[in-house]
Amino acid sequence: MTTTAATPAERTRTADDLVVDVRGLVVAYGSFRAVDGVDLDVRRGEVFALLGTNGAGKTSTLEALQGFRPRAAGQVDVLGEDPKVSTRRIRAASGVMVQEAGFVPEATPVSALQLWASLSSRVDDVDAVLERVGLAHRRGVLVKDLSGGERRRLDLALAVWGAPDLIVLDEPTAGLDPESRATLWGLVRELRDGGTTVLMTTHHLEEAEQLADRVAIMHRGRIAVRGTLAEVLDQRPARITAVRRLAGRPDEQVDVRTHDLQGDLLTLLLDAQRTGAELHRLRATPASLDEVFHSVVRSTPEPSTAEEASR
Amino acid sequence: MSTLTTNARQRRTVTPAQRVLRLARFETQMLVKQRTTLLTLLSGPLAILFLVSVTPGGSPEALAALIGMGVVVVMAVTSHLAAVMLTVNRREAQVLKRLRTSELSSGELVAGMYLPLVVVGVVEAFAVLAVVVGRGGPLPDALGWAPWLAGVAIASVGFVAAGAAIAGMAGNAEKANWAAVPLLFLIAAAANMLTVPVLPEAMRQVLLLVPFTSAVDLLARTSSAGVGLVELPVVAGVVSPVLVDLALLLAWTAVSVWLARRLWRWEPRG
Repeated sequence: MTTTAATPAERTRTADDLVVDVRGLVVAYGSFRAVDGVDLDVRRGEVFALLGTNGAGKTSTLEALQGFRPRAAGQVDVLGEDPKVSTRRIRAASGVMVQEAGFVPEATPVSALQLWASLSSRVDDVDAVLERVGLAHRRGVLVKDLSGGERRRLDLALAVWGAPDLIVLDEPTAGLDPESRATLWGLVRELRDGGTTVLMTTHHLEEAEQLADRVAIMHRGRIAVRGTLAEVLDQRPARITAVRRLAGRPDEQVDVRTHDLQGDLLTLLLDAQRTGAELHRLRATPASLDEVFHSVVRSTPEPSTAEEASR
Repeated sequence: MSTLTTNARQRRTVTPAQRVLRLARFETQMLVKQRTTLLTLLSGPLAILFLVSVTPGGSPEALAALIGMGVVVVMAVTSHLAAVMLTVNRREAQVLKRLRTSELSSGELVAGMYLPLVVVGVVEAFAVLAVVVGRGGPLPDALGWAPWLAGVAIASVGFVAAGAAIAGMAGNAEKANWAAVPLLFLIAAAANMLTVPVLPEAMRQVLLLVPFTSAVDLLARTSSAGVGLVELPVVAGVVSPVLVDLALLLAWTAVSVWLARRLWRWEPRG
């Protein structure tokens, strides 16, 4: 699997559309580099999913984008500003759903949102936002009495407040039930349709497949693969499976990995027609994100102790 | 690169002062709902006010000393302890982490969170003054009000900052409470001893160096009774004992703020 970076041509073509532009980002904890030279670009109006295993460096990357995490090296632009310098201006234009953050236990969804509204330069309607995230019926319940999923919905309500230009969602569906997940997915699509750019991290591949216009797979602090979903999936071969049955002969298992799905499928069908064979349980499937993801993880060797220490 | 005005959505201006006051208002509402903190803020002062009201005072000088001691002890058991609990609770519940993603700057967040406690400290100082004055004690004189108010305000900020510093060292609410006790006892004991008439002068001067104890002398000295608890030099007729007390108070407040900043954590201790 190849590590990819935006080409100069690609960068020139999209420079005016970049909402997030990261070059050579390094975030280090002591001698350990949690993020090790990451290039990232998120274009206006797209949903970009940063995938990776736990500890891949996704959250550290997002924290550097928000100015929370000092960077050891690299250049970061968010909405045209450096988060180290223009933290306030970036926050005024972006909404953030962090992976783990709490509320005052004595607050209610409505009082938490009213506080947020009073602090924000973005304008919105408390009742409408609670309705959008499906918390209207729980508006007066103490936060400490909300379920985990309901608290995540409240997280989301704060992030989408006032329809920011950029929304950063860190593992947004972690711990959510299917209904809450569907609500969130719907909201993300709605936001994108309204022109909001969404940068999300997830290790749920299905989520990325459902929502993302482009994805990047991060592993051991580096971006291993990135592109549109189709581009990423094209990096792994598609698969054709079948049972080939010919009179008087034992069944033959067909299992073909191919980068030319259409051509090889046609060849298989023509061969069957020519020989009079029957193809049972014929399946032709493109590579899944799951396969690409596992391929990235498998193809990256475990660092030696010395390497780990030097990182 | 897109700009911050990409989306033509409704925007308004919110000033830093508005953000601080709005967070302070929210924190006040939450303090009222938090029974443990509310109990700390009310029971301590009420007990001390009761003690002040029944402590034999006698002379105006003794009652002036009682004001100083009462104010410092009340602040130590309320502003200080409440700041410890508030800081740990907000940090461990990851509320600080959440608020950092808002448009509040770090300074505004801290100011808004602690403002109610600083105000409570000042209000309690006036409650102590009122109780002692009700028993015939002296009010600050015309020249004394400004340093009296300055002393109360600085002490209130200092106690809250000390609470934040202690919270920075403790991993959870229980440990934080235990960590707060030694300083609390030290200050309460020093403040009390300073009002004991028979104590040797050298010991008084040492006690004055205990954190925030100079506020006891300052508040006694700025009353109309006008007598300090410790003999302090008047340097060239310019640096009065009141300024020495204020300088000591400011120094401990600065140390507390420095420690609080150094030990500050936005997220739970791992």
